[in-house]
Amino acid sequence: MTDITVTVNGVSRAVSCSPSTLLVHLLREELQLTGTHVGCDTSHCGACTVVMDGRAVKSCTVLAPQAHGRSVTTVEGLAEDGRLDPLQEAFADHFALQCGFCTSGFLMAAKAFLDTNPSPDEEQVRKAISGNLCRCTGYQHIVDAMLAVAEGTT
Amino acid sequence: MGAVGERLRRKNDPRLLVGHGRYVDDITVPHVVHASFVRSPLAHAEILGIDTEDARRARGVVAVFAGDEVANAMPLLPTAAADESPPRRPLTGDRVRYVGEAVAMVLAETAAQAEHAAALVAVDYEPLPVVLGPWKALAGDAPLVHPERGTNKIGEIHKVIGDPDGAFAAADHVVKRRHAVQRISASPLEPRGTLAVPEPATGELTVWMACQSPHTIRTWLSDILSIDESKLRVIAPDVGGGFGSKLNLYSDELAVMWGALQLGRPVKWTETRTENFTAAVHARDQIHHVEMALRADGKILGLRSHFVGDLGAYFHFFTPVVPDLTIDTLTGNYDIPSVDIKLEKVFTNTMSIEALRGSGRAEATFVLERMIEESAREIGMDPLEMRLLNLVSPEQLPYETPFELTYDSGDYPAMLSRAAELIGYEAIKGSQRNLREKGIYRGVGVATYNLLCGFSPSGHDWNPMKFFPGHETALIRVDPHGKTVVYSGLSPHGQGSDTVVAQLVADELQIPFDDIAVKHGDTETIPYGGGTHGSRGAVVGGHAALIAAQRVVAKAKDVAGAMLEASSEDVVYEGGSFRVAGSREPALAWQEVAEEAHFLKHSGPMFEPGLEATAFYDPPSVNFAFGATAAHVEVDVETGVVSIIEFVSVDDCGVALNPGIVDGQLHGGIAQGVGQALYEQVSHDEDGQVVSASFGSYLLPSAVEMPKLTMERFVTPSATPLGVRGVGESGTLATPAAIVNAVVDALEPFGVRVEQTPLRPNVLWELIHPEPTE
Amino acid sequence: MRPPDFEYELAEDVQGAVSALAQGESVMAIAGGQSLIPLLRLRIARPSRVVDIGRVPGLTGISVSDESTELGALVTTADVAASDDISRSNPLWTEAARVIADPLVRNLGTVGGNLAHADPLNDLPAALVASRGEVLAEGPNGVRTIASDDLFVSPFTTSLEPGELITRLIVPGSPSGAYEKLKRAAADYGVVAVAVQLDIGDGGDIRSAGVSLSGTSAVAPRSNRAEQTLVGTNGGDDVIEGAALAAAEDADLAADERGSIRYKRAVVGALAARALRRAIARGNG
Repeated sequence: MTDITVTVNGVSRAVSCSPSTLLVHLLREELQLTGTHVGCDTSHCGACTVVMDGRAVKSCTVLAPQAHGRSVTTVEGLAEDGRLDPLQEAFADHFALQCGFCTSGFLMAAKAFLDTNPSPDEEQVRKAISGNLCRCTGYQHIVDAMLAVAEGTT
Repeated sequence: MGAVGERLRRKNDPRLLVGHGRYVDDITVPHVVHASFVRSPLAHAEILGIDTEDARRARGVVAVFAGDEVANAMPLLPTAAADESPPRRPLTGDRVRYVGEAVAMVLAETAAQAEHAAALVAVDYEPLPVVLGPWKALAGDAPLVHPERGTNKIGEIHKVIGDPDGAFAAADHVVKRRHAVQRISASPLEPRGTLAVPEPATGELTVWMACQSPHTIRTWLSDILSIDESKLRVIAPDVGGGFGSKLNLYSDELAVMWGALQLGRPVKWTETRTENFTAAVHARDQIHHVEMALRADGKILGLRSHFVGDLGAYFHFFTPVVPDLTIDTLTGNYDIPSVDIKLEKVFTNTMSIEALRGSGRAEATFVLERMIEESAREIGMDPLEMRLLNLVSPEQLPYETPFELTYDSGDYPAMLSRAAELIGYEAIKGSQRNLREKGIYRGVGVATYNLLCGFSPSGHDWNPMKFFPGHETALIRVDPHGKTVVYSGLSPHGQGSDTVVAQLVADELQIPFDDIAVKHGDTETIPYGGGTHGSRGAVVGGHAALIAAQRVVAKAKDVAGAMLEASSEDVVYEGGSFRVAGSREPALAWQEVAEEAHFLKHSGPMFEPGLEATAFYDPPSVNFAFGATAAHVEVDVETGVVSIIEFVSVDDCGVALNPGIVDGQLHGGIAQGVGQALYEQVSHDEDGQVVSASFGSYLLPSAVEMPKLTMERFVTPSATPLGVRGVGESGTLATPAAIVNAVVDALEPFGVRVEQTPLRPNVLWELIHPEPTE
Repeated sequence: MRPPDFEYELAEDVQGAVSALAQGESVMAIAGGQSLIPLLRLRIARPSRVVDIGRVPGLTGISVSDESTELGALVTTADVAASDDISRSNPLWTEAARVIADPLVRNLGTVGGNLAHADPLNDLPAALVASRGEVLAEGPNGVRTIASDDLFVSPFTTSLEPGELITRLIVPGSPSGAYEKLKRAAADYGVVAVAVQLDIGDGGDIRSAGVSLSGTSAVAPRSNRAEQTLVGTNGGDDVIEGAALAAAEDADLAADERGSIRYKRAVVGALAARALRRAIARGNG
């Protein structure tokens, strides 16, 4: 077992776990933050995407000890004081989610991307979410929502 | 202003957007143990022995179930056409028949411990000859998947309608082609999951399950576990997509429930993606040999197809009828008077074929639209023109197809013309020559579809299951504050049916959309329903809700009549208030009536208290939705890479209850069609190994493969009260053919003959650059 | 799927990492983890101990001059992809970094890890060979420089000794570089790719050339014949075609579900020609 302290959604959390624990399982099973999902075994689907120290990463491809001392934002930390992030509002307005399973991952990938690329074009948006798979939406509404946030029209 | 037709936000979004969705893997209960399966690494083998000792001794292990004796103590799985179906139990003890078949189940205190212990189970296999490929499976010397049956052939259907022999004899041209539709995987982003919680003291069992039809599961469980339905509760919580793959009761899911009953402890299992690619159902996998008889002017006189459906090793719920649907929809939107269709179905050493978004009909649409394209090219006619010549015209409606399906309304030629116009059909054709001189190969392709949907009237031919309802239900319950809950028998898992049901109920009850909650997916609270599949949400479930809402309004009029001292027939309800017709008396608000209905303070015992109604709706017929698609593509002839420049979809789903939801359904279907045309494939090697068991090799389209989609809607209300048609599966039907047709158009100078999908770069390159023959 | 248990050790510095990694064959280093963790989950890699070198100080930093680019081994591939300085001085590396996996994987994957993993389908090995870069490796016997041609032995095997780790990359700069990769879809690992880096004189003459491949049976093989075809010419169409053909003919390829040998060979040729055209245009621009 190894002792890990990680700041999750602004709160410092101390956990003791096996070093082979994946960050996604630490979040889901130790911290009960089940909004971050596991959709594959090979780092392809992005359903587990969180923002770690400002960058979107696949939490299924981070060992818990690698997250020690870092700051992690999950989908549960996206809204502040109960106010939805503009991305969350845009996802709702643009029907950018259906079954919702991939949604947290898309939100977090989109959040980190738009924070550093506030005025992207459509091609850049599509590339930014090319590490996330969705089976329901055909991506059109997700792209629409991200562009709406970028353009401040949501 | 009504709610129907508005782009209202979806009811579920507030939870899902903040990570408060509750999928099966998110749910936990005290004392739960976790399951992990040991699966066959071989496609066909005898099991000589299973050594579970190391696994049993591993940390945290509670039980290991394996072997013939254990398997035979387990109940038989429900399957389609039970008399034809090889019997099957949740674990196999003697023989494996496909890669991924469950051999042992390990239960441990944590999921990690279960997984680690499962890796310690050693199974001794004696490999057997493997049969793959449907035509090979039919050969006389083929190894047998089920030796006791004496053959791999499951059955044969031969439908001869009209005068196909006469049509072919009279034809000026006969075009022959082979078309294969590859095997694909539903690949919902959430793999399957089951949490079974027994209550030994009472014999009750509660099951959370990623499923599409909880009542069906409950009834089957009652039958096979011998537990009264009154003691069984099946809950479909948030479900992360299904697309048909979660309609079944699978072997591993039943093993989990059985294990929970054996232990008297809750058992939870979450499928991995790797498992999902082998142990969840596959789809499509048909090979057609087609002939089309044509008159010199391009009129289609007749259609023949001899095709084979590779159904895999076992039956699930709909396995044997999926290709039957292909037969019955093989003439699509076209007026083809004579057909001769022969289908053979076979067992192979692979996972089962099952329903998947557009099942049966997507294969039919692909084969037909590819065949028309090839026919037009072979006789030197513009493919668009040939389609317009042969489409069922508005004047022919209502039109009965050779398979006795009745198309009621719509304008198929106008939709196709519009799709061609939006993509710029003529301009693309006009610019091809110049571009080709620069080495740029672009093409345009079109295809139409007619989706048989709204499954469906009970007892129809395509329902092979003893327990699978055709009807849908809704219970609408109004509380004393006038707020309303709809308990819908639908089990939406992303479709947004809950939202559209709330919209139509809001209009019918004349109350705000926000005052309506929709509950679903729990057999404890929901009247017996059919669930979500087959593009039936609005068409079947919507009408159940509509009828229930009408009954609630009628009841509310009784209450209002009592309050107004009038006969309920004289009460009118409009603008959200009740008044006596022609009266100047003050009107009653909805909430006042709802309160009175419960407390009877003002009207005495003139009506039965309460304000609720239930409706069970069995549709009188199936429904049809139709449309046309067009694709503009570019092919890199040096690498075989296809890029979709633009994609147009013109769709008619009748009245669109929520245009945002309708568009989303279409987009998702189109993306699956793009995947089928260009990317996705369940691949087996010669030993039957699934070599596509990860997203890295199966290849779902991502946002960069998908083009921007241009959508346009025609609205031809159906003959149903809501005027709706299905939409969930629409996008999957015509998309693959439109793209492949566009690729063929782009590569016209090379004269490629496309006989199979997906057109992955290497496959297409080999067609463009055939190996020089001696 | 979850990784089986292993011991975990955090390396505090290079010396600590070296001694930890020298403890045995079943000890594996993890930096970004983007290659190793999927292998752990699939039980393809079964280390008894994992040494985390991801926090070792001194292994970060990008330093770019006209002559060369120096990268700390822990620089992420996303940082390489995003660096304007690298884009100007080593466009080959920018292009190669931008097609690695996906944007989220690039946020953690490191340049050192991409090389040390020695996956024949990885992109940076070919970039290193084409640009004739070298790596600094530190091990029980001290620091040494390994030239790109000496680093890759066979798939998933480098010439790094037990206990040795890559600390730094030194890559000669050239604006005349390009990377061309064929992926079947975003989630694909790749089919084949071609890395090109040229040194072009003021008169347009190619003074030296580097051409290497990804997706072949060997890890980042150098296309000697292609390079020889280029050097001393001014890179006209015939030369490009000849060099591309040489690269394709010499590629050691295997048939798999991504394509036949014939197909892959044709794609190597097509991509090589494209990369060369772009590299030459850049050099002359």
